[in-house]
Amino acid sequence: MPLYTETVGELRARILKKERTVLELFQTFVQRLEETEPRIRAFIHPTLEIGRAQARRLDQLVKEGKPLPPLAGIPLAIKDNLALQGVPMTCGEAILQGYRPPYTATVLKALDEAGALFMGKTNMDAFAMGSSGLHSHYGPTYNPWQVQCSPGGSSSGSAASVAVGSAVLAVGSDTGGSVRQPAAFCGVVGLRPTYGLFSRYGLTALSSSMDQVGVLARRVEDVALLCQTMAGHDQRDATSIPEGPILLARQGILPEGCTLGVAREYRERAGEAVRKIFDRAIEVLEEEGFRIQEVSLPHLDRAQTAYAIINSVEGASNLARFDGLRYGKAWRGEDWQRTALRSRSEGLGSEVQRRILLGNHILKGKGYEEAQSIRGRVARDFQSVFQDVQALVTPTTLTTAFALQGEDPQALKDADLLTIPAALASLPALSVPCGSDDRGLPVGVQLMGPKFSDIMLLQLGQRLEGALDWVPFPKGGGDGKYG
Amino acid sequence: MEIDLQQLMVYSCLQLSPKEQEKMLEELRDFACSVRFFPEVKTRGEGDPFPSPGQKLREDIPEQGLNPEEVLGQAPDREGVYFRMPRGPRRDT
Repeated sequence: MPLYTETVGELRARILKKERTVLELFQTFVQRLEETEPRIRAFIHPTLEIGRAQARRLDQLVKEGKPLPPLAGIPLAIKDNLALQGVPMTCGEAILQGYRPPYTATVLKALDEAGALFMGKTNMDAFAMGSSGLHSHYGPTYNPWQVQCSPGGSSSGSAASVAVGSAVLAVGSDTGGSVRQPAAFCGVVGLRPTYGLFSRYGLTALSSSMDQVGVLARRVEDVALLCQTMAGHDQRDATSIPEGPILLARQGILPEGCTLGVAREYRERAGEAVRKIFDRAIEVLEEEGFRIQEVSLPHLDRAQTAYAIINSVEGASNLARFDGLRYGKAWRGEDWQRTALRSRSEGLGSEVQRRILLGNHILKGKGYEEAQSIRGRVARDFQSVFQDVQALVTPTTLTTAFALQGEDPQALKDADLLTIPAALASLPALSVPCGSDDRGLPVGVQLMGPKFSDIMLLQLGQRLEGALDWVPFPKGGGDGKYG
Repeated sequence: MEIDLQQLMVYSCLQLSPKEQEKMLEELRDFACSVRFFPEVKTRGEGDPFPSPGQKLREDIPEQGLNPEEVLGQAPDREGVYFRMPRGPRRDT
């Protein structure tokens, strides 16, 4: 098997046994990136010089016989809405062309200290608005399983890079499903942690009450390693929870034979191909000794509308700062007002403009308070269900990856229908690949739990992954060959 | 509710083409329809759905700021230690 299909543990073992230097390992992934990028286009800005320097530093530690940090030598892809000092950050949008942040996101500092090798900044829907990867100023990313299909979004490049093997780990952001939905479409594992568990310092804000940094990898154990590295309090983020790790421990581990809930409304809405794989996953969990109980979470459609309102209102406010005067690229006008008007009209894409106008329309009239009330209702629905079941199991998406061109607008609109509720309720949720449809496109199963049940969800995900034994690697490899 | 798209564009600091304006108006009207079902959902009187154990605001301690040179390096235009703004609006605008 090629090196780029291996897990963190397997690659680490090679370094510790001195089968490969870190630099040699890094070069293998650079080669993979160069092979696959022309077809997949996962990266906006490769950062290979940074990665190479990190690899050399780690090789020096090996040479000196010093202990290696936990992610030493593991290639990492970074969504382009996370700040890395001195490296261009565009958020997938034209208006930020040429912007180089003067500081580094807390989670990226932690990953650098943990020994990860930075492969580059990945493509994304502009300002994380979108679920297809189509709304990037830098062109779409293509799904490694079938290049005519969407990789999902908005963390399109992060999911595709892990799926194709140009990175082992990736960091993304999840506001309403932007990690879990592309993870499902690309056949990788994606975690949205409990709100406040990971620092957001250095993450470009879209919808502040829901934005979370999330993580992707091919295996649940690798997501767990990332989680361990990134979770923790950060004084620079007022929403970061000081007692996060304690609360994680308090939620405890997965009880054997516990009861898992299947939300009726989520299963019924899924398409036939997804439902088939989902039902098989439920059978497997029963075979593993879990009790399955059907539950009801009735406000799925209202949740989607409430999310659209909250997301647009918060997005319109957060994006008011992008005016061509303070960051990135300016489209000059006769005066500062015309410069701002031109810069925003030329530099922001149609989807971003649409949400800003919608958000300001709602702010001017009614709807935001009502949406927050619906959000409370959705959170209470979950609280009530978690009195009876330990965790929820649902499909991650209604369909497998849709075509990049000519897709039904409803499929695009509903792309994050099943991932929105956990975001509204600030809950952790994990998408695990569980099989593929008749066309060979992956299907993800979503696990949701109460706040701070992240560890328990990872354990449940690992059980499901182990029992299904589904090999999560695209046979086409995005370049017509496996190795 | 009547939708004044011209005013919204001013608020949003955006200029849309006539074709885009037409499409946007249609979307805003559709959206207004989807919100009308909200009152059907019971949302009151069941306590705080977002209790946040352990969450508290950080101490408000002043910290050293960023390096002015680095920050000014991000400005589209500068003059000495200041951002240089394009000239202000004319009286007749």
